[in-house]
Amino acid sequence: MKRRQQGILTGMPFMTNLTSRTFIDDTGRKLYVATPPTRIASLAPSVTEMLFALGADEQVVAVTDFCDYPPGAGRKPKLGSTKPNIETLVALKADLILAPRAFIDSTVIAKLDSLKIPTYILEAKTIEDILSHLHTIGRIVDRTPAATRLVAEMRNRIQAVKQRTALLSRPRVFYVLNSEPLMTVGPGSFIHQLLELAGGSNIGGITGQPYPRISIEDVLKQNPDVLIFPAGPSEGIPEQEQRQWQRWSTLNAVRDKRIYRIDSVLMDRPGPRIVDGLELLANYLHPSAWPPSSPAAQ
Amino acid sequence: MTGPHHLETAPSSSPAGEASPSDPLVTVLAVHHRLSRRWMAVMGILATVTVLLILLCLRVGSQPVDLIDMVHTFSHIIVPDRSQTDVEIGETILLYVRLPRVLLALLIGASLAVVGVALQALLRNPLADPYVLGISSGSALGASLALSIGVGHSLVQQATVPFWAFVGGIAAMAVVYRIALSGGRLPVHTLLLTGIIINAVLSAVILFVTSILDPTKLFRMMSWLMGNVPSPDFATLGILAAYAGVGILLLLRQAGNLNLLALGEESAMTLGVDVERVKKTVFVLAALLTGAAVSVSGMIGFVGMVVPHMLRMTIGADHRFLLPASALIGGCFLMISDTMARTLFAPSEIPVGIVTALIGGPIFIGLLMTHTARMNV
Amino acid sequence: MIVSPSRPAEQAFYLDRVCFDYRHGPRAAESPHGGTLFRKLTFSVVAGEMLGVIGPNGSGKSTLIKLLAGIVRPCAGAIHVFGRDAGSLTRNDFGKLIAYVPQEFLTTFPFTVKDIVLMGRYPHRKADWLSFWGWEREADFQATAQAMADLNLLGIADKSVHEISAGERQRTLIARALAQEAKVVLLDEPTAFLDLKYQVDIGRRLYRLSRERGLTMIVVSHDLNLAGQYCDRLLLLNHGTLIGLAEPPAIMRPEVLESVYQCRVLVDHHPETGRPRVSLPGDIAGT
Repeated sequence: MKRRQQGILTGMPFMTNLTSRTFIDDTGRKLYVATPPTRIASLAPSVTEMLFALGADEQVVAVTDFCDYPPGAGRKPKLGSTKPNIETLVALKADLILAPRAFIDSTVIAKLDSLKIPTYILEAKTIEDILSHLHTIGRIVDRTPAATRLVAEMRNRIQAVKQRTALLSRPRVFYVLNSEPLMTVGPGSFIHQLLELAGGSNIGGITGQPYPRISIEDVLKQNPDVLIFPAGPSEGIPEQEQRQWQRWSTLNAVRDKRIYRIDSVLMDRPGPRIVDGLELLANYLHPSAWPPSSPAAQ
Repeated sequence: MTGPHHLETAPSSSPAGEASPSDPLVTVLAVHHRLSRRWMAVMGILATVTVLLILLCLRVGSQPVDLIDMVHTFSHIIVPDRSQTDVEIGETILLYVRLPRVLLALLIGASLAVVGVALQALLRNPLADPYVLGISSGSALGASLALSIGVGHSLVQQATVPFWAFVGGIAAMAVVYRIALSGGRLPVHTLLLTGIIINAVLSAVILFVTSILDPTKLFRMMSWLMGNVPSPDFATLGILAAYAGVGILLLLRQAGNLNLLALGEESAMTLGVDVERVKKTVFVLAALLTGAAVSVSGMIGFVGMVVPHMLRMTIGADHRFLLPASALIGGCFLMISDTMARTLFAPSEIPVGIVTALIGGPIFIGLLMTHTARMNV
Repeated sequence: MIVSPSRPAEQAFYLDRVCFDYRHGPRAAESPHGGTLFRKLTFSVVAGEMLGVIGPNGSGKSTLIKLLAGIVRPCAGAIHVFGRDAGSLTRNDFGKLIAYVPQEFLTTFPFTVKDIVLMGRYPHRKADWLSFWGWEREADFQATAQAMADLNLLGIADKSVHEISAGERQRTLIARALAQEAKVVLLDEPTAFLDLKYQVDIGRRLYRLSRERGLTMIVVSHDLNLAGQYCDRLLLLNHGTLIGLAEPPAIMRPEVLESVYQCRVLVDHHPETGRPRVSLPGDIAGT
């Protein structure tokens, strides 16, 4: 079977009707992928998780150093940390590269284009974007049924959270992104959306910026009911620092001992596990809505 | 300021045998006589200004505090109000957040400015600042490595970012000292060159560390490096105050030596200064103070470079005036900058280094222009 | 050839077989010789005399002055200052006995003339924990004011050193040395960068001050004639060797000077003072 040229379409007027194998990525570039790619390179942990969740793990030939989930991903050949090694990509004979916009710069994209390696750029701003990415990637790798199932399941779980917390009052929550300087999340960041979706009221919202520095004075003034610390083996705020927060005894969160740690990868990777993060958050924020016996409370 | 002397026949206190008590001679004596009293007057004024500014900075913030509330709060410290079981949020903010932060800004600003003056005299170079000898890069590297491994920020416990930053600074000091030392002496030009090279090398290493970090850590590291004045608890503040206080006092003691050193090492030697010992002492003290300042608050620029110049232009080059004045004015400068950093875009904060640059720069330029204008008249 | 003065007098300096080696000195890299400069140098300086140190470039004049000032130390031999071994004196003791006027000084910082002259009082300060720095006292101000008056600096006392002329800067340095109230003043080419008027002016002042205050002055000079005019004795150096230490007529002789300076010179007498006067050979512009 003749292999049709895979590559980037130029916006020629007579090609305006899109075929089913033409995709537009989040930066507006058009990609024509004739057959489902068999050698996919992932440039971000979120992408790796999505590919594995869709069952396309066999087609993944390279991942970044930080791709650690699921366990199989760790065994794939590595591409490096942030700046992808183009030579390796070429040597791998990758026929699709999936990268989030923040992890790749225009010079690299230009180089890949000139080498005729199809590159699809992702930029997820909302949870809805993640779901649509799963759909699109499912189409590209020809795993549409799996994608549909996964997205439906995720939607259900999100809906469940919404329902359970809809009528409950929203606790004020403060997410300690960084300690010194003190930073939190606000509108425009994923975590902010998750906090709000989980039925909380993110104090960082008053700043109007996605990753603002904030003064402890304002945190004291706003008096959050819940404090959330990102935690994890290589990231997050260490234990002793969380203990330092005990000195702010005026905070409701400290008084009521509602200080929680959450695995940061569940919060900042725009992939399938974001729903796990959402459920955990909702559990912390509204413990009463999840009876101890339910699976989500584990 | 050694102002113009006016011709007045002051009651002459010159003893018999004086050449000729001409008017200028007597007046020179009269002006000079008050040197130590002038010192007390100048320092008194600056100290008063400092206290007033502290009160002002305590008032200002995302949550403004009235003077009356301040008085109440402070009186509660002296006479605890047992009737209140909960401490009010306003009091918490004032006493436990703002007060330590303002005082820490004062300490750090004082340290940086004093070190700036001392190094400018030591290196006989008006371009010197606390970061020129490479200590700050060592601290930054220590902090970067600590942050990349994922240690914490609290100032009291071991294995924290400030601890490793301090270790890094001391290591850099030892390396620079060892390289620059030749034949038991510390030649000033070698010291400067070594500092510059160490800065360059360590900066490259820091860049390397940033290139292999994942984005979250990178973000944290960059944020730390940009400079920030934290709000320590009082125990920590006390320790830092004692440390900085002793360091600054020991540097103040060298003021007379620095005067002489600034005119050349040979002259200083013949006037009785143990030049090598003074150089080594000043170097070590400067490194210890800078290392501590950077460990606590990251790299805050402008204070150590511009405040010495501003003061030299207004009160003269005598280090007995310049050093203590720099401590007070440097402290005020950082205090005000930090207050602006936390207030201008409340509830957000901006890195304090931006404010020090944006207000320090224009003030300095203004002074420079009036100064040169006066000299050209 | 060393000619001692006619009557026995107190010795301001006595150098006893002093050796100085650039390799061990602080400025080893800068030496034009790269090796030993002084070998077993021995001579004495009479208290109260005006001694001129002359010699070609690289003969060691500046280094000799620095040895006398205590800025560098000899590798072997001893220097006695008013009978005491220089090695046993502290820097402060040195500062009270010996004043040093360098060729020029750095003007990085805007000290005033007054500030600089006042610094000459540093060796006399009493610094203890109570007074911290040892603020200057009455006597210090008196000495400073007197020194400034002697060198006509009162009018510019409050000016920054950046604003004054080279001659005024030099006078400031000399005033600082005077304010020190030391017994010896060492001057390293004090008139090197000055106009004729200032050369004469400073020469005059130095002579007068030396006589008035009974100071021992040792002046390094490039200018043979100037030195010959007002010095009691001249010390002639060549490549670190003491060629002669005697009164000007004995040193400023054609055969002596020619062998040292490698140049033909004419020596006659100054019409006003009778002191020797050196003139350049007449064949510069052709025979």
